[in-house]
Amino acid sequence: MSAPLLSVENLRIELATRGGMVPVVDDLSLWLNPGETLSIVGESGSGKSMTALAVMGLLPRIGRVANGRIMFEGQDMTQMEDAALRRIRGNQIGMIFQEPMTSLNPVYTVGEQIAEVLRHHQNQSAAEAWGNAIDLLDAVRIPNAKGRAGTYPHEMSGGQRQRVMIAMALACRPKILIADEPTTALDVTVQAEIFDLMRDLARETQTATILITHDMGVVAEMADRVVVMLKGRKVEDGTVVDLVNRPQHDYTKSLIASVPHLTPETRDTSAAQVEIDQPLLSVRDLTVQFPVKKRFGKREIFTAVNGISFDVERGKTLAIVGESGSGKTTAALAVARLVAAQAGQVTLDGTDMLSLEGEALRQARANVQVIFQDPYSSLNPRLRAGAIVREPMDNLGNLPAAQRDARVAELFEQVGLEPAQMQLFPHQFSGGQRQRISIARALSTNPSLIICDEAVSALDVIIQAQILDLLHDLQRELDLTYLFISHDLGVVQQMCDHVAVMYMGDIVEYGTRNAVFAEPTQAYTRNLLAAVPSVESAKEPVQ
Amino acid sequence: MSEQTQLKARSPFAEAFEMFRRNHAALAGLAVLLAIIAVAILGPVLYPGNPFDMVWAPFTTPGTEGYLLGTDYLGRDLLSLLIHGARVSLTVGLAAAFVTVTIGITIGALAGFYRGWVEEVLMRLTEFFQVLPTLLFSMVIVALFGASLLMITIAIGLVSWPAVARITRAEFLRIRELEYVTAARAGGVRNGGLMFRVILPNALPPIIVQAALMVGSAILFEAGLSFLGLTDPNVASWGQIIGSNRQYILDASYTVTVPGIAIFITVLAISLVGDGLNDALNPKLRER
Repeated sequence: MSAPLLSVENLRIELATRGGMVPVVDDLSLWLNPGETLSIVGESGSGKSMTALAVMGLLPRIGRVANGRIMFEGQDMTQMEDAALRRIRGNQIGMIFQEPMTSLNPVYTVGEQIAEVLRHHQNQSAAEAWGNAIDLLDAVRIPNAKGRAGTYPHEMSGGQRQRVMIAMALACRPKILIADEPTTALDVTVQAEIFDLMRDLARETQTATILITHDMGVVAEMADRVVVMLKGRKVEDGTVVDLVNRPQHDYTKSLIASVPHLTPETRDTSAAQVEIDQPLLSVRDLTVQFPVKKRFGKREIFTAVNGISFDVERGKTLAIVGESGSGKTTAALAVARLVAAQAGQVTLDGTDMLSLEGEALRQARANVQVIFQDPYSSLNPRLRAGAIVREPMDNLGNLPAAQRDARVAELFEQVGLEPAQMQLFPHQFSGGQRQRISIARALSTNPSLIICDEAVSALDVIIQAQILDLLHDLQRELDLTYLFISHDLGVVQQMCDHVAVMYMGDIVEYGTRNAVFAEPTQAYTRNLLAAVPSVESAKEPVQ
Repeated sequence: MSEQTQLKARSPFAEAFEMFRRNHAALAGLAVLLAIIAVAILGPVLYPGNPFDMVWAPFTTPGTEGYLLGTDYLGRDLLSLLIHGARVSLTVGLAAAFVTVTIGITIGALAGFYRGWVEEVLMRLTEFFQVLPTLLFSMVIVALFGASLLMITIAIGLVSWPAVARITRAEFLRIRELEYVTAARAGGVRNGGLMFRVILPNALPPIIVQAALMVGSAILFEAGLSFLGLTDPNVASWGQIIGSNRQYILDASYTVTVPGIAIFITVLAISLVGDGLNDALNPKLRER
């Protein structure tokens, strides 16, 4: 076997914090062979991105390589001068970042940005570089590359921008491509397209790839070998097939277990139709429109939700799935009267929600509460955790003031927090704990309907599983009804009884969970299901 | 980090104070400012008597026995004028900043919260005040309604609030879209509560910084108006000392230099404190 292209030996990375130098990566060794795809997998804070940045020589100013070597073509990159590093960076090692919205410069056309790389690194003339830029856009399958080279990043979709990033990273035919969560910000169908592209390009150009991800399903579909990281240390490594079939470490096992198996446990689809006698929530022809300001003061109407109807049974969960822009969140917030609906009927517990105004509307809010997506912005940073949970009780409901603090303590215990933590401020909690506070707040007014708006999407997979368990337990104990909004089919499958699939403001498929997952009737749903990465491709057949 | 050590509550403002304490320039500014405030409060006790009394020969140079800073063209003790003037200058500065922030927050909050026609009307009004020539406009107010300290304070407040209104509106526009505001609305908080108990406390950091700097510019503004003679002639202020002695700037330069330095040091101290607050309250800088 030939020598590895890149090898990292006993790498230790430290970050300067108020408490001194703190190791974020310790004693990490890995190697990358020419042409192969190595995946580094771990949750946020595991040090996987720091490792990639160290290889690129792009550690933040407060960080440093404290120990170890990064060997590339016989040279130790940690000892290199800046100028030498710059020549390798871009020319020999290219990088793709997570966020396609901010990693392109908005004031230059995409063609100019690719050509700039070529002119800078390969000393090509302007005309030559422009021609090559168009070829590269063509290679990453941007349709009409010649015409699209003159467009600005904001005129492209997220998936197209990520293709442009790949074109830039590959412009100088690097030997190594580092992709740091390249599809985490993208919809699942777009993710599948980007992965197809990356696989094809890697094969054509023989580029070795380091793929950084948190998703074991992505690893199984993309990588040859994998390094599992936890809290800055390597816990396990090996070929993907070995690791998926014979994981040794508990952490690896839980990562694999967290990947959704979208094949349902039962094929019984006799009850495909949703039949509910007395729904808790009944939505008919709900339409939500926004005025969109165009140039020169012209106004246009954008229809986010286009006359949808659905029912939710008491004590059950209806999931609304869809990709970004499908209108799923808007529809749910319209049900809660947090977004104004233009037409339709929403009946919750016998109350006509859309006709309520003023004080009656305010009081009705006690009956429908929301758990939001982002655990960092859904809690008021100036209030203590206890006050956050208490707030709805202070405004709604009829619990006497003297009993409220006891109720808050009870809620804290119910969601798995210590009552002593009531006095802390939100920034003192972890992401998962904050989501528990959010759940306690939603429960505080004893609502009959709880809307979970991507409630676990921002969490690491293992925390995600814990929060989903909590939601399950609470539903059983308290007979809660959930309207569960998510883009993540794996999560939806674990949570729901009924599913509505939304696309461009319409419900395209609506049925029981087994029916939708086992025998989807619509092409869109089938695509969506097929696009979800799974570990199946790496599984050995059962003997 | 263990859960046990985390159980001590740390409010965001307590953390900001911690940051502020480690900023030496800001601490020095705060020390100077506190000293000036102490002089302003205790001055009349330490240095009794009417500062307008003619106590000695005019143009006694500083350092003369008993008259540390000398006397002005009417033979009034400059140190006494300075100490009594500190009270007026600081009061006008603080009061004008208070007026500015009150008007600015109210207009900015309403515009940023309600959007629509409310925002259109209020922001056009803000722009109207922003394009007025500030010095001229305040001179007109003082000339029309009389040169009392109250009028001067109101005049300064009236020309300075647009900056605060713009900052407040921008913060409101950003924060009103955050999920905790929607969550509070879902929790039955009324509009007034959303504006002033949920959004405003989170919008305060840049407003506090602006207000601190506003005190400094209000002191300068008051000095400018006094220099032009648009002030209460019966009340000593730093600007007024400079204004009344301006004809003798060549013969007895210390009569204008001494109050000038007082203004300079005060405004510098306030700016340092303002900068320190900015660093302490800005979470993006906090990590450094």
